[in-house]
This record gives sequence, structure tokens and C-alpha cells, in this order.
Amino acid sequence: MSVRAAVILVQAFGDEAGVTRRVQRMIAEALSEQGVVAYLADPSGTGDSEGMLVDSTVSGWLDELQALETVVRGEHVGVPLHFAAGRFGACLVHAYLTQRRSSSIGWVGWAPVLDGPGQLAPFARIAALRGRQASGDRRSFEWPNALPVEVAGLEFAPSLVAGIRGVPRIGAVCGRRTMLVDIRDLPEDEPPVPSPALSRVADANTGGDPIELRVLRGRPFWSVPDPVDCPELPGLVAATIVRWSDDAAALRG
Amino acid sequence: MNTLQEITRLLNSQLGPAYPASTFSVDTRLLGAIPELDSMAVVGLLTTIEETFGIQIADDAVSADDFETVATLVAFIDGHLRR
Repeated sequence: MSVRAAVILVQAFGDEAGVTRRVQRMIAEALSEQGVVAYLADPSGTGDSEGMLVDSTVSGWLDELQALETVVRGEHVGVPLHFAAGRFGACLVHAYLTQRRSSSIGWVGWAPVLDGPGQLAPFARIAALRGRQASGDRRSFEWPNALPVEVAGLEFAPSLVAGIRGVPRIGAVCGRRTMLVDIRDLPEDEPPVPSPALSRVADANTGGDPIELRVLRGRPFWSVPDPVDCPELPGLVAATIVRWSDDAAALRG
Repeated sequence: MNTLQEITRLLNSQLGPAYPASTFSVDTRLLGAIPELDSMAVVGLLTTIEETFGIQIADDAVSADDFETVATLVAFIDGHLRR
């Protein structure tokens, strides 16, 4: 069976990379059933990759995505390429597509973190909470900037904190197809409306192709010890990648 | 957008099935009245509020008074949405 398209999946960050590993596999399997080959990007210092988080930088992670795209391009010449990423991975893909050269057709961001500060905020609050409990200081959640700091089992260097803080808000990318998938804990008797946040992201898009916004029912990913997979997500990602690839093939004639 | 409705959903997601959204009204007391709403739960709740409403909450803008009742929390969020 010939390869219909290629997809680079990008991990979430921290604990969320672990708890979303199962759904990443399900997405890869759904893609495979459609003849789409999937690669999982596991940025250095996170997940199973070599290196330490304390040595990692956001620009280094974008370099790694560039290197992986080059590998995929070499292995599947002429095949449509896409990205699909969950949580902070969506921020990284958006940053990659806006800051680096890519020949990809589109990207799907599911349950996306909105921007770097949004990813950093819970860690900063945990760090500050721990510091406040130790010192009795009850006023501030300030991130300790001067030295690497361990939070929730992860060691952050100041350069990584600054890099993540600088990751811009997600949005459409000029010349690329964009789909954002909101996963919401909505009652069955209520319509699947997107969160106010993703509605605003879609509404704020003034350039390029419109953002395709989808809402699926499922448990949110933050602070859920055993997250329930969103069963519709893998099929939606696979169907979208196939549709975009077919559209691109039709355009090429 | 109904801030109260979104907040009761988020409280349910954060606190678990023992606290369905229907149990919350504007007068429901939160901090100090719900044992599960400890400091870590507040951290999680702040994160989900930011993600759901697309707002950024400066940490020095948060006080225990904002988490006193559902009504004060709704007012806190509405204040950020107006900025």
C-alpha cells in the first residue's frame, strides 16, 4: 500500500506527555489505517528522548522539528506532510510553522494550550506554592528566575522558562490549513460549543485560511490522574489529514 | 457566554463527581467550605479558567476573597474579560 500522506505528531509537555501517550498511539493507528505514516516527535529532554530538560531550549526543539521534517521528506518524497499535536505540542508546531521553513500542508492542534505563558503558569504556581509553604511568604507567585529550579519532577533552566514564556499564542498560519480541536467536558444534553478561549482564537484570525474549529466531548487533560481518551479524536485527525491530502492532490491535478 | 455556567462546569471537572455542576449556585461557598478545594486544586482551577476563557491571571491579582463564593469567582473572571 502506497503512503498517502505523512504526519509528524508532537508531544504534550511534562506529565501531559505521559498521560496522552495512549491517545497519540491511537491517532497513529487511525492514520495508519488510512495509509498515512506517522512519526512521533519527542523533543530532547522530554519523554523518552535523550538529554535533560534543564539543557533544553524552545529554539532547540524547533531545530529538532526541522530536522525531523527533513528526515520525513527524505523517506517519503512528494508525499503530503502534516502536523498533529496535543496541548503544548500545538504551541510548538504553530511556532515552528511561523518561524521556520516548512513544506507541510496543514496542522491539527487538539486540546491546545493557548501559548507559552499558559503552559508555564501552572508550573510557576506550583513552584511558588512550594516556596511560600517553606518560607511563610503568602504574597507572590513569582517564578524564581536566577537558577534552574525543579518543579513537579522537571528541572527548568532560566533559558527554557524564557523560551516557553515567549512562545506566541496559537492561530492560523498563512498558507497552511489549520484545525483546532476543543475537547470539553460537556453534558450530553448540551450542544458542543467551543470554549470562549478557542472561539476568540478563531474569531481573531484575520489572515490566511480560516481556522477549522471542532468540539469533541471528553475529559480535560489538566489535573486528571487518569484521563479518559476522547474516542472521536483519532478518527477526526485521520479524516482531516486524508481530506487535506486529497485536496492538495486535486489542486496539483 | 455564560460565565456562571462555565464556572460550575470547571468546578465539577476539578473537584470530581461528588460535586456535579448542578450543586453550585452563586451563593455556594468555596474556599474553606469545600475540603477538596485545597491549594493544588486552586492552582488547577486557575489553569482551567485561563485555558477556558483565554485570559491570563497575574498571580498577584489572585486573593482568597476571589474564591470565597461562586459569585465572587464569577465577578473575578468577568472583571478579567472586560479588560
